[in-house]
Amino acid sequence: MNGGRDDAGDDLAPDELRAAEYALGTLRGAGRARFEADLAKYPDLQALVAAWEDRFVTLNELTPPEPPRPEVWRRIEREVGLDQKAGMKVRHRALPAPPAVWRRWWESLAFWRGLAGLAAAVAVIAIGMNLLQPRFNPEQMATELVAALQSQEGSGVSFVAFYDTQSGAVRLLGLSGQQVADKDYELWYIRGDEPAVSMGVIPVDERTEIPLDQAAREKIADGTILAVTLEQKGGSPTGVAQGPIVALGKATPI
Amino acid sequence: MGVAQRILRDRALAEEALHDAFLQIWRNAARFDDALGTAEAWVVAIVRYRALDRREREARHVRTGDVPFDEAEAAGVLGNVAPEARAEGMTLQRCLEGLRPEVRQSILLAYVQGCSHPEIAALLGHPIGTVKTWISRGLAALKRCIDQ
Repeated sequence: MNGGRDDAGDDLAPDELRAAEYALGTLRGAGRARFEADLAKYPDLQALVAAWEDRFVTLNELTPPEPPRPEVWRRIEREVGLDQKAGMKVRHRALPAPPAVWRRWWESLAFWRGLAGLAAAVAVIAIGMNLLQPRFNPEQMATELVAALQSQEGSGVSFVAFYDTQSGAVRLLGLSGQQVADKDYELWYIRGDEPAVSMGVIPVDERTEIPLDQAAREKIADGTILAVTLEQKGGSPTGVAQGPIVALGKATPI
Repeated sequence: MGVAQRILRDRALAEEALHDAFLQIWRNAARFDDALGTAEAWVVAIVRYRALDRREREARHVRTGDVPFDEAEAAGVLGNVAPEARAEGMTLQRCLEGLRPEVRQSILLAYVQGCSHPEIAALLGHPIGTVKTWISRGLAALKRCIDQ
């Protein structure tokens, strides 16, 4: 039909075209409902859709972050039961100078950042918003962040995390993964080239609220890396991550 | 929420869509399979789908096409993304640029503004069938180009 150098050629197979148009958004109405029903049944379709979602995702960089009103988040949290806060220990420690173990960790971090997820599913999603900023001032526009932490070395541990600057807390929901005997998972944030700072030991199988200190509130922003390591019981005694990274990702505006 | 607002062009509707999306993410997070794609793509996709739901439901209230898509602005922002995303973004941008303008516009209107086939046809002044063909051929071309 056309002689364009790139848009001529083989058409997509019917299922792939449906998956692509679903991800693009042009599959509408009854066709879309039917496709969503099929999607729940067929892993092959899920894989096709996920591949198209990945191909398009950078187009969302076009969109400036837009903070929702605090009421929206309160409603979401109420409906998912986050107001029943699970108690937990939170420890913040002064950190010694970054030792060799940290450098090795960073190298592995930089390496893993470049890779897509491996075997088991680990998703940590942190949504951070600065709800205290007045909405009418674009200079102080709040940021809405999502950090996608990919599984590391098939750990099978997964979380969803919300970061709400008004309450100054990260809220974590353990999705999958198991407690390891005599070990604890520990959550860290890493800003730029600075050393990782512990946000405390976290449970894998329940909802947790982690109040942040002032330093953490200032550091957790667009580009901050969140990581989970497997540490000895009670967390790393030195304030420096010693165990393997089980989940890792970067906070980015959505 | 910018993603939802771009599709819905209405703050209250975008908040509703965001609410829908995060409830779904919260409840279905265990279904996420990172062997299939990144968590970021998964989250963004759910926000878009729920925004599209709202858009279909509220079709009469959405000011479709009020704001024409600014391709230059889109290209500019694409070139200005975070360094980690840039390599990937550049691939998509390069592949989009390889499409004929009307094909590229159709795909961007669909993805960025959540326009349907009939809406794109009306905006660009071409028959729906033509737009459908552009999009299906364009998607095939994009796949070949991105996956190379």
